[in-house]
Amino acid sequence: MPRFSPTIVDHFTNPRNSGRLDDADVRAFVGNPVCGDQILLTASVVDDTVADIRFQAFGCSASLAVASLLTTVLHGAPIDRAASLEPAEVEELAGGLAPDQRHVAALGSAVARRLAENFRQGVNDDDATTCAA
Amino acid sequence: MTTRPPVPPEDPGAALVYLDHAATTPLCGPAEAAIQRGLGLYGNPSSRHGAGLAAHDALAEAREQVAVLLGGTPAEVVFTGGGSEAINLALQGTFAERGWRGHLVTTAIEHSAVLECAAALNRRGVAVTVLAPEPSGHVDPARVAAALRPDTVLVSVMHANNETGAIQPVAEITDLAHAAGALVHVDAVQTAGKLPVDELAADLLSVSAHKFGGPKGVGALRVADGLVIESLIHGGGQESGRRAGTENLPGVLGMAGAAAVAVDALRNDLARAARRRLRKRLIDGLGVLDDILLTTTDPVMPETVSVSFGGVRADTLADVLDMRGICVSTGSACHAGQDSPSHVLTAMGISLEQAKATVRFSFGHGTTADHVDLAVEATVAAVEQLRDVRPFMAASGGN
Repeated sequence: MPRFSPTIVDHFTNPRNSGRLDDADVRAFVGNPVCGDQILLTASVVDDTVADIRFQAFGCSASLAVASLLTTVLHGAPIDRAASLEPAEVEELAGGLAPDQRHVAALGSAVARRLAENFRQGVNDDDATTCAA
Repeated sequence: MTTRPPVPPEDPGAALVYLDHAATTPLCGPAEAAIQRGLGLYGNPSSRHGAGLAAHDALAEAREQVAVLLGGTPAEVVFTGGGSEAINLALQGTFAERGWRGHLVTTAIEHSAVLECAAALNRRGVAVTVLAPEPSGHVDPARVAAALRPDTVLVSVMHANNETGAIQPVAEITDLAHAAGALVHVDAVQTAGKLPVDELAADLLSVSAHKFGGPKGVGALRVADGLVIESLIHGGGQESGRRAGTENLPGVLGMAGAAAVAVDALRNDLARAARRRLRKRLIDGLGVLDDILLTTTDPVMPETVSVSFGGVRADTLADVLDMRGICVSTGSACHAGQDSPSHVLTAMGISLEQAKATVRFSFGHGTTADHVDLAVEATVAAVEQLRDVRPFMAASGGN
């Protein structure tokens, strides 16, 4: 049985939207305090829609893949879409995660929701905030 | 802000570049043939009839061949169910024979088979001293000398470390221990077939077949003539009463087949020189990257290259390489969000971050310069990619 779903393999080997928007409207940076995985999202938002988005990430393969996956889900979507991403949906979008990879779903959900929250409050993260994964 | 070109997708048809021979090796041809022969020898080596005698003779022949690799006489070779069992028999068998009393000296860089065994002995009342290595990954014999006590029964040290390849001064340590009246066990699981072990003066020497081209699930312990150890497995008195149970004839014959190949390879100076050239080729190739660290220094096995890549998670790097058909090993792993850094690297004083960034490349008989070049190319690309995507807030400032 493969360790990773085809979706995870795809995003891990062909990451989409990696990098950072220097003129981003909002920035969210979340880390898992236990294993040190981190995801940074930067996005430009036009009329409450994510017009452009980039990711940077450090961590296990699944973390990097989920970060890439998030950008494809959120690109062109209403910013509120980020607020609605629960860990279960991240796991589903990822094509399933093994038990030892599920902390990545929580991290992905946390950084997406943080992006929406930061946008609403007009703030940005300079350092990684911690998720409860 | 960049989006790097996509990494080529996994190609299931791509040739596998296997650089994890320190974990296990492919079965060599003579070993496979010997296993097939063993499968046909269905008689019990302890039986009196012809079928049993055929098996008995094959077992004796295999014991002679393994004794050539290990040194000592065939009677000193005890076949086991692998390296861990050989190590457990050496340590537990020694102290069981002595009423679980006395003192064991070992090191913090031993394989878990030794360290967990030492912990079990300690729970039974055996005093245990675990020595720290030097930052180079080598054990200083002076530390061993200082740890020896009048009640020291056994010193257990590995011939070379499985993670770093650091070759330990086992001859010097053996002399020191013997001078103090202590026995010596050398864990040669990682070196048998790669370094000569036949002249080591250790009283106990453990090996595992699958590390030198043999099958998994079979190993051996060389027990010096006259040394009495307690069997861990009681039963029919096989292996001269030191390991009961009908012998695993296919496995033992496979081990002997691999041992014959290994003995020939050890005499091949050209092959040894080629292995050293491969090591230099790998290290030179990776040298285009900045912020890398070789975790050990000479003396080191040419087959094992342990490298820390700053700013990179080793398990993620290993996954990238795996998806490109290149098999390597890591010094740590993240399981269920829990870090488990290498006890070897941390004992050497390497930082947690560096330990988590350490990858082991290990060569074997089939490794070629092309394999090394492919590994270098893929590793350099992967490290650059992973570093590029890593968030560094301070580097770009706020926006």
